[in-house]
Amino acid sequence: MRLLNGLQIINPPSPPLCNPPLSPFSKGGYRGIFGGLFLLLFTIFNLVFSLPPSSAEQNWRQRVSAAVEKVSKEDITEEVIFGREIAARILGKYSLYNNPQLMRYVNLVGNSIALNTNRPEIEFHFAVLDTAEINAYAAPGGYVFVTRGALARMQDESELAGVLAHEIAHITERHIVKELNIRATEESPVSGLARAIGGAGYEAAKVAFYQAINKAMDILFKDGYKREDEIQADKTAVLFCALSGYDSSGLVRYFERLNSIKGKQTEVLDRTHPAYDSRLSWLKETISKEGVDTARAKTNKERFSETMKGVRIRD
Amino acid sequence: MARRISLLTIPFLILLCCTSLIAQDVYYVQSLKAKVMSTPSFKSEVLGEVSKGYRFVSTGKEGNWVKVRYNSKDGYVSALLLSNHPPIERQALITGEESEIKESVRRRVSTFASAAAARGLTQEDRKRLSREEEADYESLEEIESFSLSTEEIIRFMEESKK
Repeated sequence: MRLLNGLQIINPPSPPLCNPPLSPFSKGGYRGIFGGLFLLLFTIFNLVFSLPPSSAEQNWRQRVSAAVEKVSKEDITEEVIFGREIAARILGKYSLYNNPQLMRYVNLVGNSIALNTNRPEIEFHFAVLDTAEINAYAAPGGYVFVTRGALARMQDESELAGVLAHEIAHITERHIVKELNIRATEESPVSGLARAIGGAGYEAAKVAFYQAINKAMDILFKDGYKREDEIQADKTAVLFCALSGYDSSGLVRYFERLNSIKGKQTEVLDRTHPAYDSRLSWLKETISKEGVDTARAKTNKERFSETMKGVRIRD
Repeated sequence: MARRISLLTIPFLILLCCTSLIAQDVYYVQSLKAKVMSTPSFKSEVLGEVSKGYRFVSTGKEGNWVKVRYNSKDGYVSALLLSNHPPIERQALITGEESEIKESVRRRVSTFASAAAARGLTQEDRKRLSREEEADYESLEEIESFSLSTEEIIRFMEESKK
């Protein structure tokens, strides 16, 4: 990557970090009966092992983790650049809640979870937004925000961990990145902008980039993520909490509490997320199916209460 | 002769298909540590713990768990902690040019936003542009300038276990 006249040039994409699996069909065909038999056996294999998902909830396991995706270093750089723009917009919409003690605490809890994910290349940043609205947001590239209003409704550290883990999951699973095709490819609005500098398509590329930012903002504030992405983020949050030693039922308790709150404070949250009854159902199911031990996991209620003392979290 | 070849080839093809079913994949631990469990469940016995970068050869997946060989035993590691490439370090992504990149991004947004308003957008888009153009890079840089060492985070996690 290099810079020219203050604008960023993205190098041509390098080959994926992992090679695609070799296909038995890649080195020429088989003839007659051999080819037919081979084809038949592979067709059976593919039918058995590649059945289409019958429902998002049943098949989230197949989607868990980015382990099998091919992502290049350039893709990740694009993700961070794009996410940075979204994060700046979120901070333009709500002010940053400037409290060093709280900033440090939220970063410690968030990074305790982030260390137990498969995205070590991402530097995660956590911050509190100064609004009474109850919500949390994730921008690609590692930017996570929780509102002051949400913190006011939490009762222990495991609840905060659960909320942050949900947002971290949106990032590790690259939900917005996939939705908007933010990659080091010709179709990407980020590369498109960089590639077109000074050229005839520059203005169009700028518009495309701007529109991609707007789409991401729409996902966060108006339309919400796809339902299957929310399911995956909820279920992954349970597992992230378990892997980090936090009580995974913290998120359950928090949602149960929010379920009784209606009004302006939860307007965006309710509009952009599935109903709590559904969310609670799949959270509890995941805890049970995965054998998550909630009885001995930590809630750190005292540490949470101690940190929140002297912090103005309610209006 | 041709018949003999065909008789030999059929079992070979079947064998080839079978081996594809138990194909071995390589996974690398991406998290700071990863526990190897005896069964695909958080409640099962912990066989051991490995560090970031550890390489596993896998023989399959069970739900959210990757089946691996560990100390001559079958074990399971959460798929959420693995990828099929070695961990990528952060400095490999954005090097010493970081500050220039931040500066360029700031300039770029301001430039494209005004240009976008001038052409290529609907009236609705333009209205929205004036409403939502505001982006707070100062606060963003404040957030980015705050960093914790891995040791601090580990200490925080250890404290909570007490």
